[in-house]
Amino acid sequence: MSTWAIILIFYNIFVIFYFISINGFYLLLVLLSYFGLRKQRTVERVSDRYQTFHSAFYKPLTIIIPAYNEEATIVDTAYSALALKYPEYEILIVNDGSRDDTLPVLEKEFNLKKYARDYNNDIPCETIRGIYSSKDYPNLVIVDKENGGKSDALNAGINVSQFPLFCNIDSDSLIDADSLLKTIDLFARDWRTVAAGGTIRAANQCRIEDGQVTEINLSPKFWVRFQIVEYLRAFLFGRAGWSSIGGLMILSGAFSIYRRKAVVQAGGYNLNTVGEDMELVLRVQRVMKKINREYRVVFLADPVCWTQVPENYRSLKNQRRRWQRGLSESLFGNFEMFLNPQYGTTGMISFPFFLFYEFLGPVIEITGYLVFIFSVFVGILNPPFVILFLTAAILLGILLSTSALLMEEIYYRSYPRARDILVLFGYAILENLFYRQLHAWWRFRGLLDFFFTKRSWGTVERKSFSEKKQAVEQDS
Amino acid sequence: MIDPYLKILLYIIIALLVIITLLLLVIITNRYLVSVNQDKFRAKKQKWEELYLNYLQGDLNLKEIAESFKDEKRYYWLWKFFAPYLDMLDGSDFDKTKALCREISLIGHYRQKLEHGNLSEKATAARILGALRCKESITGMISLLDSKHQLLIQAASLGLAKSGESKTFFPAARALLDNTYFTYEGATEILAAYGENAAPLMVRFLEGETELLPGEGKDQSLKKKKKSFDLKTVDPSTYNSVMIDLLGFFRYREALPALHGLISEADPETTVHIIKAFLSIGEVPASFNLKSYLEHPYWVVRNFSARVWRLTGDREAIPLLIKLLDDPNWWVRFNAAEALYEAGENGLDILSMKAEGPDVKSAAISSYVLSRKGVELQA
Repeated sequence: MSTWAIILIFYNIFVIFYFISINGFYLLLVLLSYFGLRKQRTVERVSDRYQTFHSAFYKPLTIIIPAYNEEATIVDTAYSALALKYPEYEILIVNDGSRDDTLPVLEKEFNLKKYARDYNNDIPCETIRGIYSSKDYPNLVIVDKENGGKSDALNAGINVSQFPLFCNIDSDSLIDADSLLKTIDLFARDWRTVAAGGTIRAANQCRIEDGQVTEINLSPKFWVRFQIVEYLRAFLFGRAGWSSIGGLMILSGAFSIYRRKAVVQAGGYNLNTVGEDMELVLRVQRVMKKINREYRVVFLADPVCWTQVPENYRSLKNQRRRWQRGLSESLFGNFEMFLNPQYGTTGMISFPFFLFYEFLGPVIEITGYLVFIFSVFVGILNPPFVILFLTAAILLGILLSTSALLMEEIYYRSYPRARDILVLFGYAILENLFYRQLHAWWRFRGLLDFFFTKRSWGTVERKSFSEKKQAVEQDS
Repeated sequence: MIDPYLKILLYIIIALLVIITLLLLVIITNRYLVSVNQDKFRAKKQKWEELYLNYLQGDLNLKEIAESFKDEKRYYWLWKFFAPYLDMLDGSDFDKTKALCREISLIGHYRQKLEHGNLSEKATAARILGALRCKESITGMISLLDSKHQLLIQAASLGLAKSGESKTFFPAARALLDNTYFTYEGATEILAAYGENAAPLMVRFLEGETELLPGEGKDQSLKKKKKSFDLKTVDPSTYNSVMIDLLGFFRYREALPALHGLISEADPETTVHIIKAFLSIGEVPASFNLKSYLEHPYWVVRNFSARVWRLTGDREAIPLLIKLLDDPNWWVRFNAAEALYEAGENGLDILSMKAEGPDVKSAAISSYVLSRKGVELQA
């Protein structure tokens, strides 16, 4: 037998074991998240949040919304933030040097007036050109600054923020009215909590009134439906599972809350990555460990943030490539956590998992398909085995996606129509037949971007919540 | 003859297909059952509501109404029905509702769960029995305060608070602050459920009856784990601070002498809590010397003292407020400027003059406050 044949055989065996181990991990996460979500529900039942958490004891909070060329969505986002139920908070919209009418739109809608407000320079950021307050809404503040990218806008927001906690929300996202209360509860019930986040769901086709999602509808677009299933899987068993064992490595940049002090100690958001949300979570953990401070990063499935997910192939592809690049940058920027027992579950389990399965996953998956086909061609593997193995792989993927749907059905039932959940079940099946493979290819391209340092954000087509289409070029 | 590997794969595929189909069936069945149960509950609720209101009006007696509820063994449904009423009712209506809950075994069921249930059942039972102000369960709930589970301590504290037994305030405070991960604010939020009835006891504690606070609980494991950051290991002054905050929250005027008695010897953190309590109550003791606190070395004390100025309107303190416009801390400058704005025309003139003056800090804060108030500067 030739060396090449031996290499091929070993690679095939490696791919099979890789496949077994990754799916074993995922099934374990499903179980962990089931119990984790059940525990969250018990806590919810026992807490008397609506009665107790409206008093003056609660820590005030700043909501930071970075905005770059967001004239289509920014007003809805601001109204959504203004509609939140929370005793004391201020909203900081950071206009990151937009080239469109983001600032004029805000000025017109909220009756803005420039004023002299002092702020700290805890974290370096681009020049702040002006700070505006609304005459109509005293807790709405607009920070106008030179363009520096999303991370820089968030850092500027942190500098201007005055409260001990801050929440970042993407400008194309809306959060449920009681999401802040639910998430802040995680900080109140555990002094170790330094960061917390909730679930992201697709707002496409949902009815929005006064900045709140009032009717949940299923988008007719198939790219969106795939993403709904994907998001359910990522949040309801991915993050819920990791959170239940204290191994959470990422909180969504679209909605998460941090202790300001911890983030300032960590140096704020990193300007050199497109995965600033994950990178910050990891860096905060490292810094907390260095200063010998106990910490927790937690996820709660119930507080929901609604976001517009890409509706076409190009935007989705760009987003996923960017995410993969962000993941890679975050992992390599915080590599000291890898197999470092100091970081507990995160260092010993989550980090290696993300490195071997999330970072390397696309390479193994793409090369696995190719090697399988080649092995059949040269007679190393017999076709029935490959067909059955791939069938089992696809069915396992379907099982994982449908488990997330089951979790959604048991705990939340967000989609009121039974038909919608059945349609999503169909998409959970379809997703594994071609979307997953396509996704692996995009992630593979994201890895190439990482290694060959592609810096552009690509093009994202963005729609206002009131259905006005607008293409937005993001090139921070 | 099929290869054994292929056979295993085939079995796996069949098993996966069966599981996926089962998942689909579970989803469909669950959706159906939830919908049926919701309809059933709605129908029952409608029927119960009518009977219950008749009972409260005296058209039905306890035995008659209990007859209509007695077949219902889904106690959580019964609880869901009664919970909103229990939150709102008081006096004889509450007593009648409680008697009904006892008659239909709702109290008995949850008392049994409190003693023998699992963690989740015990926690739920503590909350429900607390809302029902069930005196027989207080011993059981107090015993949960010694639990190692934060959820049980939280549920028991809330249950005890709702049950209206003020004397359990101190064991609950001890358990929440010593034996859970709750932040100071989180624990205070829960203790606030005790309401104003617990205020006289808190005043007695602040006046020196420290023996009201029980000894440390059995389990000190969490306390040992607490490291300093922004929640410090619980020391006696923390209990003072919690009670001072709560007295302020309840706007308990009768606490003013006790608070005033404490402030002269209080540490800076406790001083802040006392001044905040004055702000919440909306009144300061007559002999309170604000000026010394406007010059306090700790900026948080200066900050809240500037806010308290509005309660006193002490004209003699205005020069100190003007001095605070140059304070190193932004919040102190801001609240001093706000206080000066409240001082009427004189204060407005001072702010306008400072806004155009050479001192950078006082000029910035004065123009900021004036612009927030919509006052246009002439320049």
